[in-house]
Amino acid sequence: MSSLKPLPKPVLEYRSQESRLANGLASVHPRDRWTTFALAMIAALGMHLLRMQGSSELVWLSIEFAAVLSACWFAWFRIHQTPEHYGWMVAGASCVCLPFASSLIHVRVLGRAGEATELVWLAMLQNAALWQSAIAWSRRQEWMSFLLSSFLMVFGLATSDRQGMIAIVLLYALFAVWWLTGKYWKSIERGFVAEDSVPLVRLRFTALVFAVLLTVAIGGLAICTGKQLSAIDGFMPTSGGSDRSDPSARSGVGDGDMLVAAKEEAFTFGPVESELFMDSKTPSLYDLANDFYGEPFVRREQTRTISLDSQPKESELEGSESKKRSREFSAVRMPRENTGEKKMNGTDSKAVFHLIGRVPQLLRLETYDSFDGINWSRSEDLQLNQSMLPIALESMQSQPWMRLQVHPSELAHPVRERQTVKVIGLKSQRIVTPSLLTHTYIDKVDQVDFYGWTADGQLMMPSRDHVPQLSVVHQMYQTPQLHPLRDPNNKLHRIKVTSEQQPGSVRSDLAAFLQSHSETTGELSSRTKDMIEKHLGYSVSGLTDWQRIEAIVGYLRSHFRHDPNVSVPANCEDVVKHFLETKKGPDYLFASTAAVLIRSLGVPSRLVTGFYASPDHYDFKSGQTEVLPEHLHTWTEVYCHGIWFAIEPTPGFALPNEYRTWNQWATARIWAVRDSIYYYPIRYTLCCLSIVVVVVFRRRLADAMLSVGSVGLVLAPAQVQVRCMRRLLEWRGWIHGKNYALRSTLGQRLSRMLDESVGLSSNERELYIQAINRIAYAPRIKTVGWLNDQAVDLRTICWAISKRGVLDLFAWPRSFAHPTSGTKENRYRVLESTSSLTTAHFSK
Amino acid sequence: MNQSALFKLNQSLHYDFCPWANHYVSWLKKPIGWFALAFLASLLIGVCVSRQAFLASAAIAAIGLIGCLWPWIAMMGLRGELSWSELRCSEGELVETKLLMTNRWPWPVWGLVVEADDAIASQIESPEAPICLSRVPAMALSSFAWKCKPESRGVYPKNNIRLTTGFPFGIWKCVRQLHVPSQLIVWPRIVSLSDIPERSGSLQASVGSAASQAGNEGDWMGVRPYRPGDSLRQVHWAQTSRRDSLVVFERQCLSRQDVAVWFDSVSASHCTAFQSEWLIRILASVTHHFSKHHWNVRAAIDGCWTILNSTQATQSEWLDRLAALEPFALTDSRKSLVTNRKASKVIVICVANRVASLREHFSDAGSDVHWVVLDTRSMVSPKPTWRESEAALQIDDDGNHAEQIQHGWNRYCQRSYQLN
Repeated sequence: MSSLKPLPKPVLEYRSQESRLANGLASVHPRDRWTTFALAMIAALGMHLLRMQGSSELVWLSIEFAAVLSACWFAWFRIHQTPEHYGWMVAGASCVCLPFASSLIHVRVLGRAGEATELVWLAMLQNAALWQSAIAWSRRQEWMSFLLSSFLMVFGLATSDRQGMIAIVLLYALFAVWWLTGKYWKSIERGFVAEDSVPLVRLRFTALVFAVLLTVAIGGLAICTGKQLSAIDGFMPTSGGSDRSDPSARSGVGDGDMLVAAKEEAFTFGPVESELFMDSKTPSLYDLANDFYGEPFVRREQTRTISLDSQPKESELEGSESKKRSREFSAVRMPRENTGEKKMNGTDSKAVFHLIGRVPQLLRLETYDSFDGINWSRSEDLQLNQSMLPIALESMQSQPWMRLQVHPSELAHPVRERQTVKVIGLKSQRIVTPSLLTHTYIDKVDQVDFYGWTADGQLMMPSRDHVPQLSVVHQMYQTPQLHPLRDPNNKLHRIKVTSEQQPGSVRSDLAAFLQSHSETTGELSSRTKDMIEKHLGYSVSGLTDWQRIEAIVGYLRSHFRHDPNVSVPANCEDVVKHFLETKKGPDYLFASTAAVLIRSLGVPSRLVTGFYASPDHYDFKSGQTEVLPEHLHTWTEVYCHGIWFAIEPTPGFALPNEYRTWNQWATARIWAVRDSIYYYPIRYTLCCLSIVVVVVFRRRLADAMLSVGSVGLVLAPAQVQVRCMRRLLEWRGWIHGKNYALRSTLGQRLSRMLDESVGLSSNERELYIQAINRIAYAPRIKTVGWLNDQAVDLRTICWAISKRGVLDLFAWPRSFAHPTSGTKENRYRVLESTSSLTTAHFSK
Repeated sequence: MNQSALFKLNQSLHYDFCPWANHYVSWLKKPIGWFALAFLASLLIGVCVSRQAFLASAAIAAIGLIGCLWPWIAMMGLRGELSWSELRCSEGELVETKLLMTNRWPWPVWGLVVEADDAIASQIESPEAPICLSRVPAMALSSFAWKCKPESRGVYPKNNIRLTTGFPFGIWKCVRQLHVPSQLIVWPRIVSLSDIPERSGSLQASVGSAASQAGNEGDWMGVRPYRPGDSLRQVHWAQTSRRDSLVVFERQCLSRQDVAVWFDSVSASHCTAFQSEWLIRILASVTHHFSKHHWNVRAAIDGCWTILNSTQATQSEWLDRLAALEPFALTDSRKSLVTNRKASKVIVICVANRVASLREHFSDAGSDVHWVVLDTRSMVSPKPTWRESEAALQIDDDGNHAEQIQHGWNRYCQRSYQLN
């Protein structure tokens, strides 16, 4: 037996696509070949565009292209007649070599320049792809043609800078996707197996509708919030994806200043300069505050000068009228004359400035640190600019960015966000900035002394009367990280300022200074303590300082009403006391009260006026937010470890943006939900009960809704009513999971439906079934007459069917027993019984 | 240019010059590999040549991602269970296969393919097409049924049955295993044999009644003097004491005949899969035929003897064993020639080349040996060294095997009658 050698053990392989249908040698029907040919045609068109781009022989190239196309076209139609003929091979070789021969003739015979060698080779590849697709009789050839075409497209896109090429590539990509899907489907469609299915979830249609509605809702929400996302310059789709700076750029991180200034094109988002606009008197912040909040009362007994100082001061040399005027902010003002549309004098555009960046955003302009119970003012001896870091030039991406501040990384997220402010109608030396500003940049301004700090620590342009109109100011800022302030185990959670803190350091000196200027009067403190004991006593105990501040903010936001038309009486001596009693008022009363309450905790705080960039005014197309005079807003800032953090005590205004990790965000959400449930138990209990009721009685509810909908057919003709009731019965059966076998006749099915869901008498049931049978099968002429005779009875029956669904809503026990609900085994059983019955039916 | 030149050109173009590299570049033979390569190339062009190529790389990446994520996500919500209408069937019999698919996604899943062993992954309507599911409805339990005709014996599934999809682009295939709660045992095809051979040298076998022949089975027939070798259990003690010599009972003989079928394992393990399958079919047919006629059949496979009777349970067990038989795992089983029970008729099933070497082993067995030979002419060397007239049944490797077995068996039976 030595002659017999054992054979290797055969390897059992799967029957896979590769081994069966989709193998490379599977034949292709000529009818299916046109898709591949169309793909090759698109690629050839792109290549032809590329060749024409660098050639002067346009006519010759076109003739050559047309000849190849004609040959391929001819081969496509005729090759199936004589597929084995050598002539096709010769024709194919000729087509492929035609560009080479053509180039040779041009150069050698006609003495012309000819084409670049790589273009000639590409043209040969192009012709090979075309010919391959024209004569393809196997899938392998189709794929080869597809690969060649794809290569040509990628190469063509890389070497051509024509817009037309991009369009052709996109068209090719779309067609290629369709081609791939079609080829995959073709490879499997011969093996399709018959299918029979039972829904896993009852009311599948309802569930799908619900899913669609939910998707639409989420989509709508995403579109709404997408405005905010797209406003993040440089990260979201408004970005052009390029970090290059181009004065004429229309999008991207380096938005063109020419475009922002609206100097190049009138239709860009910036307001068009006009004679009227240029000649207008631009309002100062002081004017804006008076226009928006109302004029402050002029008190005869007041001796302090606001803006008409007789003694010239050093600050006057700066020539800023608005600055002098706005050194005080009165919390007692006259009621506003007109709260409706109020146009600023002398301006065509109402916009104070335009913002490109994240919204909502609080943009600071003025701050006040001293409060006497009525007026906020800036302390004369406050010199926060001395504690600021010196402004330094930092070139980033070839742009002269000015480094302004460095914030501790524990409390400021290191990733900086960017925004752009275009000054339109605000005449001030001060530049509007977010809280944690780090860098700023104005195109071509690379001198450090162009920028400076005001005494209260606000960025300004000291060498100018005001920031020039239409200036585009780019800013980078950080987002607060407040979690360390909430964590009692973190060393930073103590923000209460004490004189013993860090002796000798600049920050501690500043803090001590702030503390001295932040102390409230004794009377105020006692009253505040009473209020805290009364309203916040239980929640403030055991919390960190920041959480106490958040409790105060939460209390103001939830228990007080924002009413911009409310004003404090002229004789009021303590606006905070008045506000705590009336519990309503404009935003500056919220801010004042919050500042006072926070100071009572020993934490420095100050009043801030500026602008609230509202997402409601975000223009999705231009990606910018228009900030109007009525967006003037007052809020509070809290001093923590060298940073002024903005807080928003006024309800209706978004809380300042804060960076949170996913973990912190989720934890905050969970606690918020818990608190919500704690405070509104009845509301949540009712909501949960409603959900449970809807889920438990979903079938009845759906049935009742259908039935109520069918009540509208009362006035319809009897025939329509009968047909609609039949449809209603089928839907009702489907809702309740009744599996009425299709093998039964219409009458049998209806009989079962009526028995199970309506409970008509036998006569009524027979009459209705007879009516349905007549409508379905009898001649129309006879049916109409019969239906007219029986119209009264049929309407009664239809009404009974219709109202039964509503009555079932309150019936007990349920009229429908669901035979297959619940376990998977039941569904299998139904499936098997259905299939076996069907098989038996057909075998008969 | 003639056909041979084209053939040579084709050969040279398809010659594998570096087979060692196939392992490393096999991914390039798949569409996902092309996409990856195209993406890298366009990325490189974008970095080095023109930024417009980034558009191409983005488009390729998008298509590639969709082509991979879509099937992956679709498969996440699918579960399947495959079962058969029968637990056992023979080769060539129709079996209904049922696939229960559960789709928990709220959207339907399209373009699925069932990958399984060839024998069970085909439907009789289109045997060359794989089993494909055009659409599995959303949030539904779907049933797919098809009839297949397993053409080769075995215990299925031999490999895991997999559900795959490459929809929508077919550039990457996501695989999920199907649950198969029970196996399908496909027995070897049994060729119907019409006649029964005569037991050589015994006229009683053909004409006598089983009840009138003396033996050691059945009812008591009479007594006779003791002969050496009789069991002491058969001693009739009353008659022995009366006659003062040992007298024993005489009982009826067996009404069934003995036959031993010896399957040459070496033949099965050293020929092609097609030939070994036919050897197993011959074995199944012969044993089934004898059992059907109530012969006492003993069959030896791989040195292990199995006693068969005509009961359904024994037959099923025997055929299950044949279904699970792996010819390539069989070893030389000549040691099983020595048995403790000598059969009057031994049928040896082997290939032609093995007859010469097996003959000497059966020469001293003392039994009536009949050769059932599969003449494997494809195995040309060495030439068979046996006389064709020796074979009870000879089947050529070419032609219709089933017809040859039937005709050869009839001739063999007729010849056995003529000899007697």
